[in-house]
Amino acid sequence: MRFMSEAERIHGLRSEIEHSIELIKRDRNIRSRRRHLDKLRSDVNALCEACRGLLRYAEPSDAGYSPADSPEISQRTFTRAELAQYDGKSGNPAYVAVGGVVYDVTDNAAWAAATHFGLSAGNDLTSQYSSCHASQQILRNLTVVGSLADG
Amino acid sequence: MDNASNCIEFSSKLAHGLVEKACETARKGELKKTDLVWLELTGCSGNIISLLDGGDPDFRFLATRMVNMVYENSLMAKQGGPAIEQLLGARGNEYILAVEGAVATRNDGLYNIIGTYEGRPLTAYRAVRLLGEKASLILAVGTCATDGGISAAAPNPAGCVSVREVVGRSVINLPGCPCHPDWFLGTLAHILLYGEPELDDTGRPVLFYGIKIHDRCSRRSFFDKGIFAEKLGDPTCMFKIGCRGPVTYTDCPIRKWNRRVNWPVQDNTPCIGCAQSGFPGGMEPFVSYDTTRTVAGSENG
Repeated sequence: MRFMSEAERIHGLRSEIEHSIELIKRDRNIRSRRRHLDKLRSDVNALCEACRGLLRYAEPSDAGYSPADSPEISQRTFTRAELAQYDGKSGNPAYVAVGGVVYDVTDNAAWAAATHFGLSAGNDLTSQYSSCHASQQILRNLTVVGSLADG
Repeated sequence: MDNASNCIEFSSKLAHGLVEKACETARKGELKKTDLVWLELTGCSGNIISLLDGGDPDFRFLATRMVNMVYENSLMAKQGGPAIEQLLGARGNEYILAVEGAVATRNDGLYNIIGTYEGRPLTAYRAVRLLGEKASLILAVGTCATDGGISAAAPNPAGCVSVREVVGRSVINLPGCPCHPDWFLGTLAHILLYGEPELDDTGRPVLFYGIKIHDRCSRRSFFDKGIFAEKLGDPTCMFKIGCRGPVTYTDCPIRKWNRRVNWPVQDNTPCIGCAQSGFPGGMEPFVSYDTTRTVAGSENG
């Protein structure tokens, strides 16, 4: 299921990238061209993340993904300060940490405007997740992007 | 769909047919009218106004054919002492209690007084307990009644809580800001004809709250393709700028509002999750242009 969601995400990003390229070609206004380039950069970064997601191997588990299961994931470690930068604002992706694992919720339907029931992306939400979703299998469907340094 | 009962279109037709069945039964004089007490507590009275805007059936049909409206402070002719006597006199018969607005509890409920009883202020806090203990069924109408809603928004100076927290018994929850008239009328019709409808784990009728807005949104194809609005007015998916359709369980996209004319997304404004637990604070920001993508007019634009 995660593979399919990543593939769908890549397909969507590809459409967005093509659209941005076409807009850049046609638009003569420097300010709006700069905006299109920013979006293009953001989408290309997201595409790289999604491709990395396809390369990962993970076995679904109720507790979510364990960093030890993939050497690629265990190599990318976020400090809390670094995680805070991924708050879903100013063109940044939206990441959250649960149980020491960092997940990408940028395009997750439940995270409109990078927020979820009063919670903001860029934070360690382990306790909040446990108090609300402990009995649900949600983490297995999220894209893993790394681990939290002290998680 | 594998399970027709989960199909929102099936549920819509079922809900519509339900009310039609209630109307037909009432016309034939076969519907057993019950007393209805409607309490307006700590809220804006938006739910009774919404109910007055209902159609097919309308409020007139509800009040004349489906129930005996014993008490509703905005609509009844009596006022003052006689009105409160009529309210409390309802407890002598079988009645359904509909409550809109949250319940202010701080200072023994003195932040919301709905009348005078036995020479002292009758608070919403006391009234809902007096009427709640003897009601055959309690319907919490609107998000303030079901969840605290706007009345309980931080810092919640009046100590507002949901109806269920005060009455200490099961309550049928009909959230919404306001509650759609069809959700109330359809639930009431089901109660009158067949008894209590199937409820989800938060006490909401599955008939109206069994599917997310996101699952029936007219812009869902844009979401699936990753084509997102950057600002209000863009005709594409408003997920990035804050739409709460993906976490809100109502049938707004197909039932619509104002007698099925329009609904927020169709009117180019995102869903703000008004029928979901946590509204309003938990659904903020309602709109944001500072998102995972740069937008026009921002510093990067």
